[in-house]
Amino acid sequence: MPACPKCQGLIQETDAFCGHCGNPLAATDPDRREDVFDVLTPTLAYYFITLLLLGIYKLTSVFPEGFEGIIVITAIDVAIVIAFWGNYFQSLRPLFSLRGLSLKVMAFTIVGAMVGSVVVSVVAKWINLSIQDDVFYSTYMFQDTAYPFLFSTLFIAVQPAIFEEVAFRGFLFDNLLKVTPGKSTVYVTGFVFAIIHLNIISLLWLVPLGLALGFLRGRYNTLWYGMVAHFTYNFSLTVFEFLSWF
Amino acid sequence: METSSVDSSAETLACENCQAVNSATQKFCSQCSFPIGGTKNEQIAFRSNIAVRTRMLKESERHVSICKKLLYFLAGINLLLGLYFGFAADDFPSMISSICVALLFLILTAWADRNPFGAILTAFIVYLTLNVVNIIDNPALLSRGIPSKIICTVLFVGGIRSARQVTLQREALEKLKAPGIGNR
Repeated sequence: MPACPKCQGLIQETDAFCGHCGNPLAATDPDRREDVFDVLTPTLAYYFITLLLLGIYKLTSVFPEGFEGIIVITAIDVAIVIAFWGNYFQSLRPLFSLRGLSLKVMAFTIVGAMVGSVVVSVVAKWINLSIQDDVFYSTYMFQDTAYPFLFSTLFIAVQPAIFEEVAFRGFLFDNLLKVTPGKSTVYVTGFVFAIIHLNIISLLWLVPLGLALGFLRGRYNTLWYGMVAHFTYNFSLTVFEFLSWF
Repeated sequence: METSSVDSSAETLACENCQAVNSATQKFCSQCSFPIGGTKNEQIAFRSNIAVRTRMLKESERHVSICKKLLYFLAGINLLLGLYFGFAADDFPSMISSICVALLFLILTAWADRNPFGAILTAFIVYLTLNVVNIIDNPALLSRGIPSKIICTVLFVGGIRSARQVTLQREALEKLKAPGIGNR
């Protein structure tokens, strides 16, 4: 028979409180004092630093245009993510574990991301906006460089797949999980991920994308599926642009 | 279904608060922590503790509902703004984005009934994002409408905090098995 941790009196497994001293026995104490903003403040801070950076880049001419601008903005963005990543390094480590990954899920993820990128390409064309106006990173900035396809892939597909995933499906997701159940964490991170791209029209496909990536993170507790999906999706869009499809 | 914690050898006693069966030697009910073996005053204190918690829950719920009204208000304002852009200024891109923002706030208001915390937090982020983007676009807006910005921010922060408190206070009351709350 177990004993109460406070008064050592004998208790039953099914007891919610100790019968001798009234001490709550379940892991969650109803009287625990917490301020939700202890958890939310770092999350909001990351979001607003990034928002300011992207807003200034998109709406003002503070940063240089074209390839130089994208290098500067990417370097700052990566530095911000790494600073926050370092803060949560230990708690994020399990998300990088390769154990338990399923090839079947991975295959579905890749196929799903490719289908998604085709649908989005068609829809974007249909609402008569070229992808270049909608996606924050776009290939035309790399056309004058020595290796346009290599740089496009690095800046459009590889960088966001790693750093956006670590941020939105990594520490933002983890922090929100502490204060709200899994399903609404998927919704909130999905919305926030879409909003920070700062384009009203592209919310149409960025919200579903954010929700899908959040679902993968919540369901399988790993960042790998999200990273692969994000990479496949962005890489397909890049390839379509180079082939001038859709 | 209550599972009673009872020593088969000893006498038993039903809890006045939650009717769980306890051994007569216990000072507290092992299901709801009601002081079955305590003095009259201790039992009154237990009941008034529940009353206080219930009142705190009501207060938090009131804050959340004020915040929901703010969401409706923001949706309405953006809709009117969109109509103004379209009909009075012939500015159709602004009309479409304002109406999209109004729709977004409406969707969040609907979600707030099921998950106040997630909806209000998302709405707060949307609200701040719109303000930051507008101010970067036109820095003169920074000093405009400061009272309304402060009021909205205070209501949002209070709403987020209260929405979290509602969840915690409900859990606490369910554990104490207060009448009318929880699974009884």
